[in-house]
Amino acid sequence: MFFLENAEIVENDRVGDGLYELKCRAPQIAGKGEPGQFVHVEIKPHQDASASPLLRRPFSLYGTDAERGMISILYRIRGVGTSLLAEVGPGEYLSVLGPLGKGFTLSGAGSAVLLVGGGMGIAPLAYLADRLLESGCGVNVLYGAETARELVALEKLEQSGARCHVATMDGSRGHKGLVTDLLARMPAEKAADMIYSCGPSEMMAHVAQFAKERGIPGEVSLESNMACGVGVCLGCAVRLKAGDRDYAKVCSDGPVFPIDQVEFEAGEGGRK
Amino acid sequence: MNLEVDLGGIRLANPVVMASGTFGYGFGYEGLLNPNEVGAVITKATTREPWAGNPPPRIAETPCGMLNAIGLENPGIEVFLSKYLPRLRSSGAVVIVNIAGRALKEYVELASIIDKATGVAGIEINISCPNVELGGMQLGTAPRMVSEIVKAVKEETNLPVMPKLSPNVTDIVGIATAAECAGADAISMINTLQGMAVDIETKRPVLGNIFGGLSGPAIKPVALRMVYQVYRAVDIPILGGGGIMSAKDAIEFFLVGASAVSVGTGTFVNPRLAMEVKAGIEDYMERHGHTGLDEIIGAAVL
Repeated sequence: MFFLENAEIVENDRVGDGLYELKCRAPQIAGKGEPGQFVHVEIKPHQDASASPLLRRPFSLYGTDAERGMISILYRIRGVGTSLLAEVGPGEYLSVLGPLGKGFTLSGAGSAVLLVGGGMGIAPLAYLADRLLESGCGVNVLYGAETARELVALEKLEQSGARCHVATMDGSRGHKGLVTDLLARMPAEKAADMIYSCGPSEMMAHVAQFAKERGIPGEVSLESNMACGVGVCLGCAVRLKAGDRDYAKVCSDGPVFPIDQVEFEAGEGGRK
Repeated sequence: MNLEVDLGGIRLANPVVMASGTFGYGFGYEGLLNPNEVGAVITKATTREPWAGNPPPRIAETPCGMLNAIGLENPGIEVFLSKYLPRLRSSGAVVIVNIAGRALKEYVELASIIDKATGVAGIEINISCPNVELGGMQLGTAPRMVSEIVKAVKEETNLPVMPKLSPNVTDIVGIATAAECAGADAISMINTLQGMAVDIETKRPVLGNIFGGLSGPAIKPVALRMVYQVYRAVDIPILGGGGIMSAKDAIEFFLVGASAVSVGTGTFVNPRLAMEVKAGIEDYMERHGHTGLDEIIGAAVL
């Protein structure tokens, strides 16, 4: 069950270099959305359809507030769509379709979970952390970015009570290097009952390997370009494992998949 | 006001049809757009056996359009009949089944199987998919081949038969008249225009299949021109579409000779598009004092 809402923008703030957090009023989506699900947003900032990209853009939910009827997304300017999205201001409206896709499995997460996020991949994980902490789960987060200024979800994560371990490529905060370097520092026994990850393909490949070695179940959130977002066009196909005959659809079979069902190959499109 | 239309023996309560491959099996947008609200649902192409489709990436956005190279991924006719058709039938939707294959034999088998199924209003013959190696467009670019397929399918079924034509041809009129002479009950047009996209950073084609089919507002002028030409040449009704994003676009298709219109890519942008198009057609007809669609079909054809 999903909804099409004409959502009033409440905030669309620059939170880092080329990074934005958008909050809008979409009460039906807010009431139904779950961590790992996404919204499909029409980019039409100036009522001039010909100047806007044709297709909607998918964004993982960064948070929902059912009481206030608000949802939020986190995004980086990467192309025409996100550039135009950054121009919309409070009081303007965007057509938002959602909540879409299969989110993270919340039940059975156990008492201690490990979240591993890189870049914008932190968005669905920060939302997930909120939910898990509410249910009394202990949450460790390994959070990586290029530089400290891009750790835009860190404050939210720390405020909600997650234990955060940070890595930046330039060393401006936390460990200097890859976020997956931090995996080696996890205790050998009982690192976590469950692992959730979202970020670059190479990062998730390491996380999947770690989960396999430690025998910890987990889930990853994949991304893909999409047309419909609801499973009818079959455009966001991804072959999860090299030998699979069939293609999974990121929008409707995912975007969240069991970590052991995905074979990550560095450099292959669609699995990042 | 009467929005009913007869599409070669397929009775439509309203002339807005969901194009194949853009509405799944009728329930992908459940709650937002139900299959019984629209004039008809043309199902995702069905082949004899399951097809896995093309490797990703399968889509690329272009200015005012998109390329797709899905490759007719579908679970095959048996699964379609057992899993998808019953629910679609019980919804009360008018169901047109799009069939595709690698050879004439497969189209014949599919037509024969569908003829025995209940709850199908018509068959759309896919001889225009640009994204498969064999079958698809290769079967729809020569008048002789089109004629052979239409005749063979007609022999297997009493259902109305409507070939979907490819715009990737030298002479669309020759193809359409061949289809009409072979006994087609209606013509569906247009499928996507073959194109490609290039990634200048990786120096590679964007699509896994290299080539894809262009759809969306970018192709509307081509589709209008072709419907106009075919309307002047044939007497059977035309299901016209290609880049319809509004009621205004749809009305343009009626005016150049379409008896009904198909919406496709536009649904991805606006899931309620079909219903907005229907309402907009009603407004237009009221404003112009028309009481039936026949008063506007072909009105701009000189």
